[in-house]
Amino acid sequence: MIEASNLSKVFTDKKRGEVRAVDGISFKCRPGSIFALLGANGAGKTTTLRMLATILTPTSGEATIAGYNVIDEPAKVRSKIGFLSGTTGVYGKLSPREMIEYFGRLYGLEDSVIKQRSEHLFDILNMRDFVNGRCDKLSTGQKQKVSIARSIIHEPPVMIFDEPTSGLDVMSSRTIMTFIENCRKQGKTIIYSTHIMSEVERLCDEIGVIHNGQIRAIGTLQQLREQTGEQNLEMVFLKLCGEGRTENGF
Amino acid sequence: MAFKNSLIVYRKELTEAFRDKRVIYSTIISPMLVIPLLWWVMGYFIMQRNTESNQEVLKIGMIDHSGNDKLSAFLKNDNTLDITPVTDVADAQQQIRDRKLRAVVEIPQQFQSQLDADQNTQVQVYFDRSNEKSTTAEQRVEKSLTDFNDKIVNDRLSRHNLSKDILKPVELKEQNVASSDSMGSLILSAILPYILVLMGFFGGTTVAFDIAAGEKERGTLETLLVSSATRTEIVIGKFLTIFTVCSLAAVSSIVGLVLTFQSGLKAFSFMAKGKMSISYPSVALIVVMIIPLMLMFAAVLLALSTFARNQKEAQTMFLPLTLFVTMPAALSFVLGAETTLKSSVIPLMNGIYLIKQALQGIFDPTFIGLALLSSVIYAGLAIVLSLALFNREEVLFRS
Repeated sequence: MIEASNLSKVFTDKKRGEVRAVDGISFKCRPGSIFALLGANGAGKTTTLRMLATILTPTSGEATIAGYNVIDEPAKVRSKIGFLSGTTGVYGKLSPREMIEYFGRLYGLEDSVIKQRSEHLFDILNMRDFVNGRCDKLSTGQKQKVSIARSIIHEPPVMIFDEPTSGLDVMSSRTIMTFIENCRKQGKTIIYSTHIMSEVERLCDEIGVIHNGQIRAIGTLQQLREQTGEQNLEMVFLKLCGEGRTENGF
Repeated sequence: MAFKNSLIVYRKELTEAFRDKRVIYSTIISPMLVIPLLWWVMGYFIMQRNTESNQEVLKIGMIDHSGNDKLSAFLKNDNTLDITPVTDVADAQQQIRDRKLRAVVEIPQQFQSQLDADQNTQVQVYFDRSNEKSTTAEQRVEKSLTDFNDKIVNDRLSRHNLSKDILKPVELKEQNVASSDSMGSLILSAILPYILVLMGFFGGTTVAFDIAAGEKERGTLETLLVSSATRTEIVIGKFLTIFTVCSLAAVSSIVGLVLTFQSGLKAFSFMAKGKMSISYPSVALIVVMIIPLMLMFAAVLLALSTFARNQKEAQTMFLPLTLFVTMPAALSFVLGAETTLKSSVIPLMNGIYLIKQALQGIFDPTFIGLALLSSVIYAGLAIVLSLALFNREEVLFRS
C-alpha cells in the first residue's frame, strides 16, 4: 500500500526562486492494482516518485509505503520497494549476473538466496544468452531486462515505475508491460508514471492526473471520462489540465 | 555488521576500477614503468651531454697584443682548447655571438714585461653567458689561468727562497662525512615527494570521476540510492575505493623509483650521484605519512566528483585544483628537509617535508606527531565535506 498525504516539494532555483515542483498531492495505491501518475513533462511525476523512493525528502506532507513513513524510516521503505525508470543505467564493467548479485547483497540477501532468485529471473526474462557478458556490450532492451531483474531481486511488495518505457522500442516496451502486469498478478502495489496515454489505457486501474505539481483528478478511466464528458483519454487529460481545445480548434 | 554495505560497495567499485585499463595504467604501469623510463631517458641524455661537453675541444680566439708571452703558450698546451688568432675586439665579440668562437682571450701589450717585473697584470676574457658552450669555454680558460697563476707564484716565491706554504698560514681541510648513499638519498628526497604526491593525486582521478560524476551521468546513482545502503555507507565504500587506488599509485611510484635507482644502470647512478639506500624506519615513516595524504586526496576528489554533474565537468573543475597540488609538490626540488614546526601543520607541505626528512634520516618526534595529526584532521574534514555533499539533494540532482 502507498499513501501520500498533502505531499509537497519545493526547490530553490537561482533564476526562478522557489519552485513548487510538487504541491500538496494526496493519493492511495492499493495492493494488486496499478496506479498511474499521468502528466506532461515537468508536471512533478519524477519528483513525487523520488520522494516515495526516499531519494528526495518532502518539504511538507507525508507518505507511507507498506506501513513505513518515508521520512522517519527511509531504510525500511527502501527495503520494500523496487524502483525502475527509463533512464536507469547499468554498470558497464560488470556482467548482468554480477550487477544483480551486487544489489542482492545491498538488500541484505544471503548468497544462496541471490543465486536461486537470479537463476529464476534469468529464465523468466530470457536472459541466459547474455548473463555473463559485460553490460556495456548489451542492447538497450537487454539492459532494461537487467534493470528489471535488479529491481525485483529482493522481491519487494511495492513497485515504483518512472516512465520505464521511455526511449525503448516496441519489443522492449512490451517486455516491460508484461512484467508490470505480472507484478499486479502477484499482488504487488504498483505506481506507474507516464505521459503515454496508450500505456495508461492498457495497464492502469486508477489514474491520477498531475499538472503543475498538483493532482487535478483521481479515478478510474471510466470515472474520468464521465467527469470530463470526453471519451478519448488524450482529451480527458487535456481537459483536466485546463488545456482543452480553443475556439480555433488548437 | 556495521558498514557491511560499505564493504559491498567497496568490493564492487574496486572490481569495476581494475577492469578499466586507464586505472591499471595510472596506478601501476605509469608509476612503475613509465616514470622510471622517463628518468632513465633524462639521465641518459644528461650523462651523454655531460660526457660530450667534457670531451669536446672548444674553439677559443686570442687577441695577443704582447706578441711573445708565456700565457698564450700555456693556453695552447691545453688540449681541450683550440686557439685561433683574432685581430680586434669587435670582430671577437661578433664571432662569439655567431658561435664561431666560444670565447676570446685578450692579452695586453705589456703583459709579459709586467709579469717579469713581478707586477700584476690583467687578461680580458670575452664570452656569452647565455650560451652553454661559451660559459664552459670561459670556465676552462679560468682554470688554465689559475694553473698559470700558481706556476708564476711558485716561480716568484722560489726566486725569493720562500716556500709556497707562506701563502697559507692556515690550511682548511674539508672532509665530507656523507656517504655516497646519503648523497643518493638527498637526490631521492628531492624527487620522491614530487613523484609520490603527483602519482597519488592523479592516479586516483579516473576512478574518482567515474565513481560519483560517472554514476550520475550513467543514471546508476538513483538506483544505488534506492537500495538498502545508506548514503553514509555508499560514501564510505566509494571513498575507500579512491583511497586504495591513490595509495596503490603512490606505493607503485616509490617501488618504481627506488628499484630503478638501485638497478645499477649507469644513467640512474649518474642521476643519483652514487648509490642510494633507504632505512626501514624511513620506509615505515613514509608509508605512515602516505596514509593521511592519500585519505585527503581521496576525500577531495570524491567531493569534487560528487559536486560535478558529469565526468566532463569534473575534469574541468579539476584543472584549477591541480595547481594546489602540483605547486607545493614542485617545491620539493628546491626546499631543504629541515624546517620550522609551523610547516608541520601546512596541508600537503607537511607531508612533503616529512618524506624528505625520512629519506635524509631526520626523525623529529614533535614534527612527525604534528604533521600526522594535522594531516589526519584535514583528511577528516575533507571526508565530512564529501559526506555533506552526498547528502545534499541539490548537489546530487544538479541539472
